[in-house]
Amino acid sequence: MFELYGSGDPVTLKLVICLEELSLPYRFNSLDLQKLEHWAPAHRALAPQGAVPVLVDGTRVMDDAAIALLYLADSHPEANLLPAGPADHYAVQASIDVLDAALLASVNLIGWHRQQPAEARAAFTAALNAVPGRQTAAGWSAVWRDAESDRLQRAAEKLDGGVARIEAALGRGPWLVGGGPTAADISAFALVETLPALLPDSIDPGSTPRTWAWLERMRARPAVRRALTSAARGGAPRYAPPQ
Amino acid sequence: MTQDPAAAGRPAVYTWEPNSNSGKPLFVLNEKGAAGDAIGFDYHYVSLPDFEQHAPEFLAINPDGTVPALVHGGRVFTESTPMCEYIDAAFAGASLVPSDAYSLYRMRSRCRRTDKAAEALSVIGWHLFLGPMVRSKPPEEMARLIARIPTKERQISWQTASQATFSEEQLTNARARVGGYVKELEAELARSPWLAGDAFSLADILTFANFYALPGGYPEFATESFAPHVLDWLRRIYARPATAKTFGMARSIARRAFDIARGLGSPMAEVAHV
Repeated sequence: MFELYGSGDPVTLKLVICLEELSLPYRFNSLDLQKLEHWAPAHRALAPQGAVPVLVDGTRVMDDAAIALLYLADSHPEANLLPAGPADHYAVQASIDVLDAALLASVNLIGWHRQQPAEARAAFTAALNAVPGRQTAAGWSAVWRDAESDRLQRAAEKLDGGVARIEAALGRGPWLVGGGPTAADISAFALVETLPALLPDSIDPGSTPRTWAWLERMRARPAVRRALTSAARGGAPRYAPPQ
Repeated sequence: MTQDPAAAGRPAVYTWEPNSNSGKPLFVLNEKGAAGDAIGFDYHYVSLPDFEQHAPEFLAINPDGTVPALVHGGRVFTESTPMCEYIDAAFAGASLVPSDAYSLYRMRSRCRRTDKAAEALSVIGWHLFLGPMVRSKPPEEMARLIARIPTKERQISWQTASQATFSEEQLTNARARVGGYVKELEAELARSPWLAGDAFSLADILTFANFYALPGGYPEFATESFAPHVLDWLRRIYARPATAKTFGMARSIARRAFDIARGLGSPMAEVAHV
């Protein structure tokens, strides 16, 4: 029995879809990120820096979800979610890394802004800044303190670049890598599946026909259907607030 | 899906120095071939201080304009960490990737945590080396170099970076983050000889590629009282033949690496052209 600690956010959805695809038993433990439950002592015992989601397999605690997805795929080679051939194996990992970099922060930022009114966001940020022992950004992101409107604008542009990469990859075949669905499809689907509702211009049958058809193909999979109606998703998507 | 790596031909690496992301495939190719037959590969030097990663000749290889790029078997590999797993799987030699799923998780997770910590290293590196070099270029030359960057997003990043100077607070914060990560590595290495467990793996190589100069840039963290296991780990990696071979291929950073190794009491065998 796996324990999954998460919310209805895109990254939690990746692991839920993967667990469902592999028919693995799991218990979902819901965290309300807006209430900072991921920074409460109980969760920090698993993930000292408030990472969400966390996957626990017996005594193995995994707070890096992108890698935990590969862990699940590696543990069940028969499902072919991570192809054995070195070049396709690389392509799956590269697709996950590139699309995470292009899409994840942007989707969460835009979704969170849409979901939370300005006062709630300000209250959240104040509470987050008061969390003891929280590491703040020390890289370049700490230098670029753009105005909020600039950040949203840049996020939307970045997001278009990510969708363009998906559309281009699907020009080579029905799935992102190789001849069948892989962890790359699961990862990318979880990031963009709410975009048609969130930003209708970003994915539509006219401008991104291949991505549109691929979303339909993914949604038709029984495991994906189960994931989208699971307790983890709770019907409505949620987005992760800033870390 | 099945491939015959042996038939895929001689690999070519397009990259800068054996440093951080640029260095990953160089260290890994040399380690992979260290025990048996060396892996012959072509090393095409791409000078980051001269912005050669955005030159048309390199964009023809990697349209994203990032190093490193590996070309093998008619394919181009551009994501530096998965690229190293490809090298391990595609060539004969010592295994650098554990086979059980949880050790693999540890290895990959360590590589990502190192990449994250390397952002703090890059702030300091920019402040000390690359930033002054870039700011010394005439503005019209800088504008020309930025105009050929392939994506608008990275043009904006470079535009901002080329003028960026860091506050004392930002630099202090970045240094503290480096120290915090050294402590994390220390705790890990107190538990097991290598970062992903009992066996030397990509986690060690890729972390070393970012932290090999720790005693030079951050002497306050490279002490026997602060991080004895990290110092021992650095000495063990400097003593590996593949490490000396890789730094022997360097143009501008080799002297520094050889000095640091000597300072640690783990001198590398000097290579003729250094």
